[in-house]
Amino acid sequence: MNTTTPSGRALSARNLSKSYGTVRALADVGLDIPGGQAVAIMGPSGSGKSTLLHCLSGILVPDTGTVTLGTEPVSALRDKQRSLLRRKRFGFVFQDGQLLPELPARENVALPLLLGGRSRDEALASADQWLGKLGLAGMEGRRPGELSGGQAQRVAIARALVHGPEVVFADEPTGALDQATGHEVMQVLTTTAAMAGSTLVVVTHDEEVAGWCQRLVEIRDAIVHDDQLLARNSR
Amino acid sequence: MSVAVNLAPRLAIERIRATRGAGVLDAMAVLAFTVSSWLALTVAGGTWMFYRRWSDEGALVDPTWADVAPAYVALAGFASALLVVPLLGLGGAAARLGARGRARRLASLRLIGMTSGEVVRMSVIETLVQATAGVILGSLLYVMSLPLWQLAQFQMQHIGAGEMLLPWWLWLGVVAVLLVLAVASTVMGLRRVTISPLGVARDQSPKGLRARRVVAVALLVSGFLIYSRYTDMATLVGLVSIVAFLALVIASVNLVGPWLLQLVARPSARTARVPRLLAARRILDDPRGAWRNVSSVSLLGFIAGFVVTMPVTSTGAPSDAYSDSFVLDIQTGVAITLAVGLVLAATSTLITQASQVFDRAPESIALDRMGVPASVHVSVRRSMVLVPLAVSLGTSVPLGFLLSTVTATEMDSFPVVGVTMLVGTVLLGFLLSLGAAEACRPLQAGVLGEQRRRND
Repeated sequence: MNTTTPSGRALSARNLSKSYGTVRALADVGLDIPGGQAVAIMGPSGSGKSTLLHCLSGILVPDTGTVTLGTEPVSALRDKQRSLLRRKRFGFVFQDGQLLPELPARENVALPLLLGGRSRDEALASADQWLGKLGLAGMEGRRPGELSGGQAQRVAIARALVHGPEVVFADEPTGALDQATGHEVMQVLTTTAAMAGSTLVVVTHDEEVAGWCQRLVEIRDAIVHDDQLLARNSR
Repeated sequence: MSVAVNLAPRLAIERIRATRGAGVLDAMAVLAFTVSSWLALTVAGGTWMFYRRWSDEGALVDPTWADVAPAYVALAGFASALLVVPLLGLGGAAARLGARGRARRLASLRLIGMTSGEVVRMSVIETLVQATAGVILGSLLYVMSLPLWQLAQFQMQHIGAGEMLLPWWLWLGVVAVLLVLAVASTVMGLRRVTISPLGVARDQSPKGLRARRVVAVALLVSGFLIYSRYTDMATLVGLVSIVAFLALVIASVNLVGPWLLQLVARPSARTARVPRLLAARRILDDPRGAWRNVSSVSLLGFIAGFVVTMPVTSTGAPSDAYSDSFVLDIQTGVAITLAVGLVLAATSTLITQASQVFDRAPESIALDRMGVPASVHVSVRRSMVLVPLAVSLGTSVPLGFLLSTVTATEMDSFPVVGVTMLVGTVLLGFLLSLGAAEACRPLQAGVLGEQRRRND
């Protein structure tokens, strides 16, 4: 497993605003995330936290404001360049895993490497290694429907980290899990992201989940309401 | 009942008017019903024309054709019967459109208290709204395209302006059959949805299909070849039994097709890289579904393979103008049947692929967010159409050719017309199916580009 810091580049957002029609999701939001930090973005439903994650990760382009990764102007890149950035330098964990149902676990994990041009053998070997590290040895050939919710989310974590991303974005990664499994998944996510040296940005509405991170950013009514370090989880 | 009656048409019309998101699927269902009714009415019109030429005195300009007029009616009827399979396929595909979305919507309605009977009735009404709109548009297309048929000629006589126009009662009969088929497809499709949404993308590893399917088909083909050799086709019993046996062999292609697809896709799943890997896994996940998309093409491939050995002249006497015309008419009839079948198959491919764009939307969106380029989705879709198509034609054409050797007369020259039709069918089959798959690009772009605010 890769335990070196990919880059330690900071992720910054300046004066981000984003509206959906007449509804304002983000209003002049600013945020600096140092490389390697685990940040939880919390807030009630409709607060704008997922929109912030989508803008930070280049999925959405803000109406105004900028997002930069180190010196790279994420929000100014063209769609194709942002796709490439997401594929090569970011990793994603979605609420319900969003694994491809037709592929066995190892091929799901190997997908980012295969898309990046690595040979099939190499990609599958890395995938198997990651699955082993995440406690899924022996389940490489199982398809998502043959895994429990927690196991599927571990596969999603392995897929997010297998290509050594600089930043991992997790959108409600425990939203579809029970509390105990959710904690287990957060432990795995924060630990492995730290070991891989990746910055971690987690969107959640659950305080317990946010508690696994080093920093808590609270969004309310489209603005940053609170931003604090959580001392107990300092890496 | 009243809830379903009140709600279903309004929901269906609103979704068609929305023409965005999954609403496109409802518009596509209307398109499918339009194409199927247009072609069904045209084929019925052709058969009706031959019947009139046979039954109405004076309808045939040259009375010499009167003796073979019943054969034309029989052949047109046979062509219509052949086209029932792709017509059914298109109806079934229309009924399965957006099955996952429909299953979710129906589940919501069940949750708010609708009974399963009401849900079924509601779906049937929805389909009837779509099918009725399609039948009206298809009927208009049928009438508007009638003048074009004047370019064609049968029995050494150009098709007259009103010859293919069906009487009202026959039009009503065809329309009724189409609507009944649509309702039957919906009810069957709904049953499949209830058991497993669409039957695609099952989350568990599918069980492989057994090789004994091939053995069964090989036995059938061998049996046919032996039986036809020792059966006198000049007798009615002999002819009917041969035709029935042949029909059984044609149907058996659907038994071996999914197994062959599985066989072809398996090595790719083990060795290929994205996107062929994804296409192969999806085919392996549901080989029957992948085959269903091209099964109507396999029927056409069979016909095209069968008519390769079609004689250029029927008696070998080049001076016999009537015989030559009869053979030419058969060739024209086969070409029309193939063309109609290809359009049906392409429409079926289009709506099946469109349906899958929406059914797989969550996975596609996740891949897009991960930075997977849109071209990967296009390549996957292309492979998912072309691989089954190649297997389908690769099986059915040789089989058709093999079986045609039983009835073929000895050829003294290269069968130019037959080979042209075969090559044309294969090329058009590929081009139309590929075009149908490519036509889904805007839908895919729409699914990926739609900015919908999540409840964040």
